[in-house]
Amino acid sequence: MAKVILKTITKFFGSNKVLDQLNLTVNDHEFLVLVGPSGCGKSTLLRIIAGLETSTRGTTVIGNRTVTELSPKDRDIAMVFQNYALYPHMNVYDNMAFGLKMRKVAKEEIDHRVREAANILEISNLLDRKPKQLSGGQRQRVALGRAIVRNAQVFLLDEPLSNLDAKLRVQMRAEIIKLHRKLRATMIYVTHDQIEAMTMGDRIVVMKDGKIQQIGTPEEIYNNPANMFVAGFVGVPPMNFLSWSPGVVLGIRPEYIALIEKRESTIDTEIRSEKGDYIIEGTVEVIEYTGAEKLIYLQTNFGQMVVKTDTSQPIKEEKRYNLLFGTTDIHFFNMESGLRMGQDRPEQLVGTAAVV
Amino acid sequence: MIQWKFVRNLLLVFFCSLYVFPIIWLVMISFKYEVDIFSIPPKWLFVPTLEHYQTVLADSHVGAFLTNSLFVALGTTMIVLLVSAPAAYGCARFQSKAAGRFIFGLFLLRMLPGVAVVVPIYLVASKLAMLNNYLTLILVHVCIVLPIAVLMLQNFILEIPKELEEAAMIDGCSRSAAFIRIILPLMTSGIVATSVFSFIISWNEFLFSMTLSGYSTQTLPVGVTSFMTDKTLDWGAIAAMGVIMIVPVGLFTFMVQKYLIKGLTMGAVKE
Repeated sequence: MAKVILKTITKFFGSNKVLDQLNLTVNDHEFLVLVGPSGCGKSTLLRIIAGLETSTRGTTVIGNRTVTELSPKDRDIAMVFQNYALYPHMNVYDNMAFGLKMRKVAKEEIDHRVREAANILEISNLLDRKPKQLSGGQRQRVALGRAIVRNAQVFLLDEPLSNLDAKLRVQMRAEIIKLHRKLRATMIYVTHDQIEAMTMGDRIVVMKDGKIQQIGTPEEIYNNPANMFVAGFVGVPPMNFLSWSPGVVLGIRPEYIALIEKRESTIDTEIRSEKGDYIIEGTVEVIEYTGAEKLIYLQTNFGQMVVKTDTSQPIKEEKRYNLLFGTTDIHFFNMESGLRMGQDRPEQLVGTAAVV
Repeated sequence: MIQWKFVRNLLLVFFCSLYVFPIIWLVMISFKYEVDIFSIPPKWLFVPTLEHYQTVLADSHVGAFLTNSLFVALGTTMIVLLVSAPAAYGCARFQSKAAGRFIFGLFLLRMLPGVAVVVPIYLVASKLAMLNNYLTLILVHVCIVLPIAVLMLQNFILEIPKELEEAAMIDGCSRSAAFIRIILPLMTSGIVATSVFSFIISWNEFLFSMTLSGYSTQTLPVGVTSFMTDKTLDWGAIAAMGVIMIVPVGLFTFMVQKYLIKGLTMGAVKE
């Protein structure tokens, strides 16, 4: 297993810059997830690591070797493709054995490794079948198996679950995590699905327009997003953004807001001390029931907001509610740059909180 | 409903017979006596004879025509496949302006009517002392077939996901090894369709074979004309030759029709 180091990777397709001066270090044994909207360059980056694409500028290092100029076969990597890319004219066994045969591994060794991988993935009974005769989930396992048998230094996975149905996706997600724990391999995983990224990654790299927006553990990404893009991209439903004061945007996640029915008699300050530091007033427009929770869409003075509540709280449409949230849960962003204002956020902003 | 079905079938029979009629007519002539061939109105029922086949097969040249044709058509097919498969792969996978121009260039020869290039080609061949030479015939036939073969195979390769080669390249293949081990086996039906196609074109080609072949390299279509002399026009023998020409191609096509249909319809529907 090995480290992967990318130094100032830049990639142009024609005059179109898809990757811009990217620096990234993937640690040994790490499960790193590249996530971002389509067209952000995450797949291109993975393909550059694989050697299927050459970077216009920059260096790629795998282990102790600079591989920038090497062809894919000399990089000692294994890759799983979105459409599985199983060889249709070979059975499962030959599909898995192909890479070893090409590397002139001894027959007994090939047999041993293929059967071992098949055991791990529980596909031992499918070895004689052709890919056509397999279900989507089985094909995915074979594709993983083909990568495992190689004992490569780095595993690259390019949206491997996006062709599966929702239920199978969740199941395979857990299996890939288990597999990573078992193999202790360095894995780089590309996805556009932020839930996959959050659940699977040791660290997450959020990308947009060919640039890295933030690198961090799922907790860091979720709780301390570097900018408005990351804050809005991670989390379902996305963070609420309120234009709080000139040039400043306040962000608050839907699950950190409490709803209290507005009664004329209640004194706002009392609630405030009990529930939070901020109060906004809003009218419920739509209620979405998702089973485990409810999503409440409200119209407020700051625009539309969404609140996630548990199903036990009775909420009525078209009623007025107080939205309450605490200082520790909010983020301030610079409206122009989108960057989060960290420790140095202006004091007076906190002071404006009580404005309703 | 029933009426519509009837009309539909009638139309089908009509249009099919338009295509099949010349062949039926040809076969009938080949079995007719001289008198029946020219009888008006045409005779649909007649006493069959094998005399034309006997004449044709007794002619010592016909065997040579047949071997020449087979040799040229097989040679053409082989060279076409050897050249067009990698060319088509290149055009399909490295789509660029250059690839587009390459295909356009290939088609230039097809865009001109054959008679326009036959004289220059004859002169070149004659200067190179390559008249009456199998290689010349084969090369010219290759030029005729190649553009369409490249285009056909290119469509096949475009159907194959490029991730398959990429997977093979990561598995330890060079690009050419990936092409040979992964792509070629997957385009079998395309290769069969293309080879049938180039075999038939070469087998039937007349103009260039007529001009460039000599006494010992005449192919079947050219050989047929030897039954047309300034004194006689032996329709019976010509028809018999025609049938003999059709049979090998028919058999070949019949044998590979499974691949052919798959090959010609590939890409029409998404799997």
